[in-house]
Amino acid sequence: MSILGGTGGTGGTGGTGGTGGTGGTGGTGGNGTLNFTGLGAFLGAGADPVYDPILVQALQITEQSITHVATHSPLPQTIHPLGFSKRENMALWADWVRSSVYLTDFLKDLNWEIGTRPERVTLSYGKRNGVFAILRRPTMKAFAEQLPLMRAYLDQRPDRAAEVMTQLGFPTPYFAMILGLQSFNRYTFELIGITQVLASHVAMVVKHHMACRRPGRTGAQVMPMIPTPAHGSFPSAHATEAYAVAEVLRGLVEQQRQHYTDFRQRKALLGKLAERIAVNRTVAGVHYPIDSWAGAILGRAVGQIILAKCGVNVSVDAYEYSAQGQRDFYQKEFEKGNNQDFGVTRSGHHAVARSEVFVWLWGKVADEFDLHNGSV
Amino acid sequence: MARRARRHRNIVNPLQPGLGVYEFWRFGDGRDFAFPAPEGAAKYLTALAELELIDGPVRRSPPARGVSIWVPTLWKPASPAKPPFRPRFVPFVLARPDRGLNNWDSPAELHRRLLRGVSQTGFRRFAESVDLRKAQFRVGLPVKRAAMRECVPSSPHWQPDLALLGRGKLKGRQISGAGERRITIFAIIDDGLPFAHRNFRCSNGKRTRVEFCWLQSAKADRRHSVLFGREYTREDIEALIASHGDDEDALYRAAGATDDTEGLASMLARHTTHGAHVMDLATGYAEERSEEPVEEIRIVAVQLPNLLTMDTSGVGKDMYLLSAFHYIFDRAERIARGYDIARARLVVNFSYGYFGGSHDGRIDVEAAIGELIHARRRLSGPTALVVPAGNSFLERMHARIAEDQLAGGETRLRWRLQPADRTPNYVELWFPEAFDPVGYTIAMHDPSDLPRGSLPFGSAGKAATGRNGRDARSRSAKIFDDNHVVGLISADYHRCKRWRVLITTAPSEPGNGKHRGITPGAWMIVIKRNATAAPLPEPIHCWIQRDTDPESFRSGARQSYFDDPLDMRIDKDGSLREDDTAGALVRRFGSLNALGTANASITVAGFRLEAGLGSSMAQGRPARYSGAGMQNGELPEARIDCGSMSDRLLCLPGTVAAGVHSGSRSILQGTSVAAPFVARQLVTTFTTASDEDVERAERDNYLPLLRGHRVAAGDLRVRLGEVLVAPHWQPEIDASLLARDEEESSASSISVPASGNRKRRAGLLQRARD
Repeated sequence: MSILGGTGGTGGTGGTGGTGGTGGTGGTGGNGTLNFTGLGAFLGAGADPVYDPILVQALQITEQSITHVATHSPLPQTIHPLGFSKRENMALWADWVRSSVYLTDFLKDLNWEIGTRPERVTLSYGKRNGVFAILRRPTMKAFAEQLPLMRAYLDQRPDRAAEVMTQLGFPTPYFAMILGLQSFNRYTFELIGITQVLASHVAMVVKHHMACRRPGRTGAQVMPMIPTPAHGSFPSAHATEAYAVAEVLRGLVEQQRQHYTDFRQRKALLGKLAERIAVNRTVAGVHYPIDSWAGAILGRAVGQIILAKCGVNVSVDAYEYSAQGQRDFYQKEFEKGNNQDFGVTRSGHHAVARSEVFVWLWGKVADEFDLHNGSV
Repeated sequence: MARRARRHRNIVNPLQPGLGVYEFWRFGDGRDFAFPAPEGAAKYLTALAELELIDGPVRRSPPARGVSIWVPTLWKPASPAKPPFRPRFVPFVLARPDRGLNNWDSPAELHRRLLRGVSQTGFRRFAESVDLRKAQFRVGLPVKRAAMRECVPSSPHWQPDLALLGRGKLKGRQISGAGERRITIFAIIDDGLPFAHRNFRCSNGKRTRVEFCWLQSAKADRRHSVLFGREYTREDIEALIASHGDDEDALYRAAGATDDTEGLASMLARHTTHGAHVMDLATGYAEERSEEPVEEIRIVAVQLPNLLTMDTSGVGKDMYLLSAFHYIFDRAERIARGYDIARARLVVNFSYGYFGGSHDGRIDVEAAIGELIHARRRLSGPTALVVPAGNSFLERMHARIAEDQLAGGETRLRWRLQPADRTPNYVELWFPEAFDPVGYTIAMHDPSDLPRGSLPFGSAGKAATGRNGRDARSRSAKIFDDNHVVGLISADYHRCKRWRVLITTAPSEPGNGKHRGITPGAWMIVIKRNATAAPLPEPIHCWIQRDTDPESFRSGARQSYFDDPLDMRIDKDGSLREDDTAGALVRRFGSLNALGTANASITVAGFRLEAGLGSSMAQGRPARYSGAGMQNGELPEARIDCGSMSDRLLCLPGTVAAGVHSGSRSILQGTSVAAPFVARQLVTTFTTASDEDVERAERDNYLPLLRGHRVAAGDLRVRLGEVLVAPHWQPEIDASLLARDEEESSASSISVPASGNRKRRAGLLQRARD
């Protein structure tokens, strides 16, 4: 579906004594599904309204009827501009435009290299090519070893079906639950939304090159309970997104510790929630646990990159991952960072420069948690 | 149906002496159906020996070799007993030989091996004054190789909780003042037990009240304090809480409690389990419910293997269960010693059901548990067992055939077998006590009414005592579907002096593809008699064994039932009928949990509130599914003792308790969740009751100690027992409203209720008979 999908408006009928009506603008696209621009959740929000032809006619009749009173006085000598390249201008743009700005701002510094011996994808970020993830392509033996784990998780479908079904798209309500978000937290929702979009794009880069077959194709007994998405298995984009959001929100609650004095508990909950979301995809039968490992590693890095771009003092940790087929995925093991037993090796860290548009968003988010400005 | 009727010979074989009807099926014609394929080839099998004590010298056979058996932890009373306690029922594990697997799979070979196994030196201490040739064996579910540790179990490394000891409350032997509590033990036998849950800890959240926990099917670790599975002491659990308390998934993983030896995913990864719910209701204290832990209540927990639910005979778990009781009693002995408590009081909650059984309190597993409980009461301290009434009231799993229904010489009981059923079906028919069914024949007709097998009881005078002291007419007839054996009709003269006929059938869809299943549909159990047969002094009672998969273990079980056209299932107002229909064979009354008929158990029915959440206990009505005894005085031992909440309202099914993880919430329905309310009240009362009160109440199974609303006589009392015990907590239910009637009646319920007399009578009867 295109970004401006929907049918175009019909041309207006000729008005009485006026000009012909203009064609209506396109309708809004569908929401919720990620499309090629990656503006998924933003679509619709802030899009221009569609005037019906009669209103368009009526506006023009009114214009013609009243314009004469503005012809008597001279025009002003000076007209002031908006600030050039000012981050504050973001407030003026429609939601989907802001989304587009964040996306292009993020992607311009993302790079990747493809290696063949061994098969791997190396991701880096920033002008000095700071590597943040080296993911090796798992062997088919490793995937085969994962199948008994898939079978074990299958027994939890009765327990988790509701979660699986409501996490087909972005699981934003689950994160909102942890932070107690309300409808006036629109910029926090925007931060969560764009984090998910960016994480998803990064995951897709890797998925394309890795081209790993889904468990439903390798194990007859997996029988997924939901449609298997038409992209590769490794890494899990759900894990990437969930861990990216968890990382960003962990940074947020820690910075807003005046607001969330229990931020330590919330940080723990965010990590556990990310694990739950990732594992739910294994329960559903569409991801191996090693997909969650790779996704979580990517997601953490994406989250750190976003925090750095927002101006938070954080460095981006780099990890190399070599999948261990007999290993399950656990938050407890993941949060250890370096973890040789599970194939995770820490290989350094580097800084990422702040970005004006993300700094602006971070400021708007912070306002939503200020105990003294009346918003909470 | 296009199948051609083909006559087959009726094939009748004698049963293997020393084995029961279930073993004859499982290790004979049913060997390919009885368990899912991997279990069928297990190396270790659980077994029980019922030993016959004899006076006088015993002819000793030379010790046998080459057959390995192991005995789990057995309770030995700490105090010297006169006469010394010697269990008649001994649980053990038998190893399958490495070679000759096919040979082994016959009842005769199995029996030979069992006999040689118990003839070994290691078993001698149980076999003094015992004629082993008269031993009766039961063989049940396997023990997984990874769970088994070939050893003699050693003592656990355990110390009492110094923080509790240090309180100075434990002068122990006597309660010195009002409000003082004595250390009392609560034990639970269940599945999926979250032993590190916050609700079982002390108030600081770091110490736990769980002193011992035995997971019977966890992978064995390096210690060997249990024969199979894994044990955790309080120190183990507290260390786990200290190192992993922030992530309970990680905690159970680190504990090895989620390691899977049964081909099933860990129960503790689920949101809730039966065990979590029951354990929380029985002894959970939650901050969010404003409950302060009673630290004096110490916990022993035993988690049964999940495979139990795969076994639709319902009797394969008996050895695991008996081992659990021995373990609990042994660990209770250690707790009493550690905290210096004389006559430590113990309440055991076992929220499981037995569907078959004679319902007279005397089948083997009841006798085995009963002998332990009575011995502990005598030698170690007050001991209560709380069990649920069962949930099969409306399930059409009980039928009754009375004399007038056989007046024409034949009666037919329609037994509907399910399609897509991957497990065998079992139905038991019990003749009246001491009745000789000579001249009777039990036959099976297929859904097109062709006879497919029949077991005649022969003619009078042939009743001979066989080699094993059993009736030689213990025999088995094959059931055919075309030319394939798909079941057995077997009869044995059970230890409780009743003839039992067990009909077993293959699954309709066997997991093992090379075997034919039984044709599903309405089979007919035909009960005939000839002119030589005696009339029935009491009815024949029939019970179908449970064959469902309540916890989603993918066993493929499908419940069969008696499809009786005379039984009216729906009332005029459209609701499910809770009364029996005159003339129908199917009976709701009499559907009680067979374990609830033991004279040492407290049987708990389930009630719901009739008039909204603000009801008082006087408005408690039976939950629709809650099992009950007979209304007419038949099966006098099968009686409900008391009731507690199993549904809140008709529109709010189930009760609310904790799930697996601390802070999670579970809603579960059934009498299983009513029993723990009673266990909780009793164990709490035990912490403060005087020795005199407890001793006085013991004769009546401690029922006089229960507080609650007294139930009026009549059908309501048959369904709910003498007294309704209020839940200690349920959301939105105001305890003070509930208790409106409790205050008035507490005095009357303290007096000895009639059911207590009944149980005692049954107990005396049993002692006289045994």
